[in-house]
Amino acid sequence: MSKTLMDIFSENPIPVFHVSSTRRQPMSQDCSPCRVSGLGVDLVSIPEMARTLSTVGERFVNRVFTQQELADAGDVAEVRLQRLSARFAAKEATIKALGMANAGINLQDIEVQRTAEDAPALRLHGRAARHAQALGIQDWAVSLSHDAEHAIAVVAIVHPRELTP
Amino acid sequence: MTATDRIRQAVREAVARHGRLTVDVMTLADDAPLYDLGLSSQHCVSILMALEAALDVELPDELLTRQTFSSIGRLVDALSQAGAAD
Repeated sequence: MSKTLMDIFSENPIPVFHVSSTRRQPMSQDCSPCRVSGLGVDLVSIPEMARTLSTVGERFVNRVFTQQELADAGDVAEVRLQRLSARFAAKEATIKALGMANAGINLQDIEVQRTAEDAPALRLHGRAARHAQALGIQDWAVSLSHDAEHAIAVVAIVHPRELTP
Repeated sequence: MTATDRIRQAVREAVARHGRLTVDVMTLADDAPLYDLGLSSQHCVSILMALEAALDVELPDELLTRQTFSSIGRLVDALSQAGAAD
């Protein structure tokens, strides 16, 4: 019988970095190995994002991103576009990982922050935080990447896992 | 033209402009599955922003779901529910 990705993750706990909830510390320092119970990925077309910003830009930016995310994106146009695209991908990946597609989530309630080590970290607010809490989810991992054309984000829901003797 | 007709027209125009579908949105059935026709989450946000601006309404968080964007009819219902028909 073929294995799913979740089967593989369950059987082979992986060390997790770039983890944040309220602690914003690398998971590897306080919980390793971990069990992954949810996974989400999202790919954003950066030219499409540029088009969106040129047509519905101000409204889009103010509805989707937090003030901190906008500040983190900086003022250099090309870099800002890439960073906002990656953050948008992270928000969508989080919705997938937490199974919130029909939960009615304000995208500003899923915030990408930077840790002191300059790694991305997720912080949930409002309805998104309540949804995660209701599911017993306390920690998650996020990874972002981009090139000139695409931005991608992966979000994993992680749980502490007891070591077997 | 009724208020609902005006919303439906705005939805079709927004989906046609921002949905980047490969079909003629203006003649699409109200219940045609937009995700199956190529709609992405990135497009959904653009459509939402365009509709909120055009109809001077803001969809509440509880209506910002994948289901809301699944068809033209669902979008019309959500916008009507949010007060766009007033």
